[in-house]
Amino acid sequence: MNRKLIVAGIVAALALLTWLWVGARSIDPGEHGRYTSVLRELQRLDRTLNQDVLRARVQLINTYDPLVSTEREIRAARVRLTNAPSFVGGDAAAALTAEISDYGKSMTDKQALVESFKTRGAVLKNSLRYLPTLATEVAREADSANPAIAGDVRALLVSVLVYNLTSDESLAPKITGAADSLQARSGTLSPVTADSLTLLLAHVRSVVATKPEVDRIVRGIFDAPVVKGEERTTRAYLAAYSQAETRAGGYRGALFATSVLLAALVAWAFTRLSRALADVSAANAFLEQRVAERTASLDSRNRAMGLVLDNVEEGLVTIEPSGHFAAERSPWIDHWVPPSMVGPRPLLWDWAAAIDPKAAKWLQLSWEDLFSGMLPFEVVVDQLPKHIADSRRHYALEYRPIRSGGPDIDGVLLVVRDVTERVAAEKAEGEARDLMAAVQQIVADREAFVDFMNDTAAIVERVGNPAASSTTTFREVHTLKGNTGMYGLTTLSGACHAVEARLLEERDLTPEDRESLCRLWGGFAERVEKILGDRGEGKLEVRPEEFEQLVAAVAKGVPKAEVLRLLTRLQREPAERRFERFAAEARALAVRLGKPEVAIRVSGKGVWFDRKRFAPFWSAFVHALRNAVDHGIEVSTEDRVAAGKPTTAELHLSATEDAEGIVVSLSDDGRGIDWERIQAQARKMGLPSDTQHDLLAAMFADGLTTYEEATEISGRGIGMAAVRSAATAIGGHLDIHTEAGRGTTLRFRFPPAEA
Amino acid sequence: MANARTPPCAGGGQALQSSLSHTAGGKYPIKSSPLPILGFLLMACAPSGRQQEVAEPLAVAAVLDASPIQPVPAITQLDPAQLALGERLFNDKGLSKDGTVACASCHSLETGGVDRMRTSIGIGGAVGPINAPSVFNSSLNFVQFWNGRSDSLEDQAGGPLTAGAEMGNTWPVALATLRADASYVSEFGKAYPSGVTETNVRHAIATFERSLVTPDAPFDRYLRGDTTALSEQAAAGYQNFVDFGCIACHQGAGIGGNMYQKFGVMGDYFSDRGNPTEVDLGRFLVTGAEADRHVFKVPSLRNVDRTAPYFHDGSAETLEDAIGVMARYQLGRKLQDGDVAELAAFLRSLTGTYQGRSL
Repeated sequence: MNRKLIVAGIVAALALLTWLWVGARSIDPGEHGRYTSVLRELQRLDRTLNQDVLRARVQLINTYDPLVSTEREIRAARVRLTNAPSFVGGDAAAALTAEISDYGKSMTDKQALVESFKTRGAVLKNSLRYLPTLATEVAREADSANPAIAGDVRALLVSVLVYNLTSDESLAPKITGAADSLQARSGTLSPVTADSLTLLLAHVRSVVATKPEVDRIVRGIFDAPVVKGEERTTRAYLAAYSQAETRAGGYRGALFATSVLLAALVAWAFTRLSRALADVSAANAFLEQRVAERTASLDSRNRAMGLVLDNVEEGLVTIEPSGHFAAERSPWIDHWVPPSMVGPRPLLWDWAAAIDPKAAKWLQLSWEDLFSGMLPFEVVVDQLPKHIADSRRHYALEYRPIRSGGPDIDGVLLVVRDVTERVAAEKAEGEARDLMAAVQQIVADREAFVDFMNDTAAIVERVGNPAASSTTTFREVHTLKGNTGMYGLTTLSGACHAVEARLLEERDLTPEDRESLCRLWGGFAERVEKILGDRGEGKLEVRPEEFEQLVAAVAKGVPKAEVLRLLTRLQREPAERRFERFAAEARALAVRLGKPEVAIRVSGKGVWFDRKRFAPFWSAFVHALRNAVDHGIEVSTEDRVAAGKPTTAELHLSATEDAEGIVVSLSDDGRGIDWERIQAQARKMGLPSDTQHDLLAAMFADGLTTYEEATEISGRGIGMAAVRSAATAIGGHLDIHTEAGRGTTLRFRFPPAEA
Repeated sequence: MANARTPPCAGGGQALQSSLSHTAGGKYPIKSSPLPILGFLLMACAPSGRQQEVAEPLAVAAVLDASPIQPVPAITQLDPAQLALGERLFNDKGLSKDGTVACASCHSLETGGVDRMRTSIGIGGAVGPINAPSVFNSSLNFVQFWNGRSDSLEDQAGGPLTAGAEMGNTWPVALATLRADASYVSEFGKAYPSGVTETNVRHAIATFERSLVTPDAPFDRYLRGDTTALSEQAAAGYQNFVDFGCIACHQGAGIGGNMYQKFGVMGDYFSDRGNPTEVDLGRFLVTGAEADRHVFKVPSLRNVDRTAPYFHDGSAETLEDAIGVMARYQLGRKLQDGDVAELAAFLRSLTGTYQGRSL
């Protein structure tokens, strides 16, 4: 648009300049010169013609050739005269044309006069030429006959010749008179001479008649308005020329003004252009400086970033969908696994295999899923190992998707952190926490904790035995997890959970797992040992009231059997005491699991349990208790209110003893066993699930749980099996009574001990 | 020798001349025959040898300047291609309607540039109204045709071509004929940028005609100082020519051909002759002016011996006849036979040469 405008402007300016230029140059000096020279030449030729006429008239020239050639030149010049210069225009041109026309007419008229002059002049000259000859002849012949006539003839000749050369017309009548006189006297001459005289007189009369005519013609030639015509034509032409000159002057002025204007415009444009150029170069310099500054600042930032990245113990690397490392990566990646081991651009799993072959295999198997698009990235990432470790170091792995706008993943940013220190710190912290928990337990119930320690030590010993069956080991580990969890020994229970998770995968423990568990327990036990001091193995703890009772009985002199019973009873523990301990654990568990408030009733007055016999059972009973809290009681108060129950859940631990033996029961008012889920789980595991009996059996099958995910506390399905197994081991029997929505009761019946 | 130089009647006018010369105030006497002056010059300047003195250019030029008769001027440079083309056209009968008449048919260069007929015969034997003037020295004529209706040779050249009784053609046909001839197209192409056009045809013919001058007549040599070039009779004839007043009209380089004059100043030729024709009206046909009735272009007397018969009507078959008619009607008397013979002798000295040969 703008460019078109400029081009149009330039074209218009050029057109204007050209127009003005043509206008200013409209007067062709050559044309002007030629035309004025034509006018001058005509003037000169006219003068020449006049001179020639005059010379011919007085016979200074005796030929008309000069007249003819002058007239020929005039004819040619007149043709040129009609071709007025092209710059003559307008009314001036019309005026000039009119003048030329008049001028031409006057010249034509004059030419006719000249022709008349030539013709009539020739007649006059003819007579004047012939008269002397004739007069001589007449006079010679008349001399003898009439000398007077001869004399008159000679006088007449002179008169005629003089008459011809003067403008004095008074001679004419005299000549005519003399001629008449001679004519009258011709009769005196011989007839031949008289004829000659008559001819002579005819020529004389011809001269007298022709001479004034010729003089008139000559005057007419001289008076012809040719000079005037020439002057008027010249004036008209000069007027036209001056008009054209004025017009051209106007064009010149306009041309000058336009040129000055355009020059000013060009100068202005030039100034603007140079200023713009200066601005542009200044802007360029500024930009270059800015770019340089920016580059420098970026460089420094990059250096700083590089420094930061190099100094953070965090490896960053982009991994292509193929699994290859990108070339650019932070130095730690190569520091942890030198490229000399795996190559310059290793596959992720090859790199990981240098640290943790197992995790590397896992990575390799799951990698493709990241890019298959079948599952969301986040879901697949969840399946990837987030932690790898060799014997010395631990690394945390974090995967972040690299997307370039679309939903597809172009690559994965892998963030690797060396978490060895943190793991160690956490471990130390966990150990300290465990120790704290242990101290609390010891303070609260030293005896119970000692029991726990003893039980656990036994379990760990069994777990540490490589020969143990995997099923046994599974249950032992589960019990271990439950017990340690119950006592808040998180490190231990966490380790058990990890081992358990691996057992689920592999169905057997590796020697490393066993060793690690043993070492973990060993470490803990060693630290607790120092606080607990002698664990009291082989000691019999007697409470003061028991001791007083015994003393009183002996003092009273009760029968020996009764004393024996009391003494034996020292080896037992009262049910209430054991139950109170469980109740405390259950309450703590409920709080930890965020369950509704639980009211725990304990009853068992007068029932005593043989410590030795029941120790393994109590170890396993923890599972039942935990199931009741975790599975039985509703997840929230709202659920209970919805089921029309009091907000506080109720748990009842009781023991009764009769001749048949001891019955231990645990009942809750929770959700009851979800048989449908058990059935579904049983089917999933390929177990019989058609009858109630089948379902009961399935419930005790190892590995069955109705929970979606096992927790530290319960849910492996192993718990019920473990507790039933423990009861059975000491001759007990388990009955389960459950009512959907109303609660579950476990009843263990133990026969009396053999005496 | 003195006789040869001195006109017979010179003595008669001598006293008059000297007395009149003062009255006129002129440099030269009224009677401006070159011969006395020439003789004077020759005697005064170079009594030892005439030929050498004649070769003196200034003196001769001075004499000739005042002479009523001038030698034929030199031909100005003519374009050879145009000249050759003009000659070809001049001789080409193809320019006429029926291919029988060329310019040369009536203006044969072999017969003095005329057809020697009373009046010319055109295509189909048509008899023209007027006597053909000679094409020789036609360039010396101030106008063309007897009545001067053309003021240039170019203009004249087209006249006979389209005249019904002459070549009877039209320009478009003539030009088409020329264009059909490759050699003409080629020659025109060489001679003229615009090729075959009417203007160029006229110009080419006129150019050729300008070359048809006949210099070096005995009288021209006499004018240039060769007093032996004329016989005594012819020299006497020239003196008569001057003294009788013929020189009043027949002057200049063409000895005529530079003015108009009435046929019959001192008598009525046409009523005496009878049988008036249209062409007898002369220049009246051109101007319509009463004064131009029976006015004709004064014909050139060069080569007049070769161009009989004479006058526009071809009525005079011999020079003597013509001289007689002229004396009768222009001078008003019958000349003596001796004078006529001398005049005829003079007129015969006016025959010039063409291409080195006398006509």
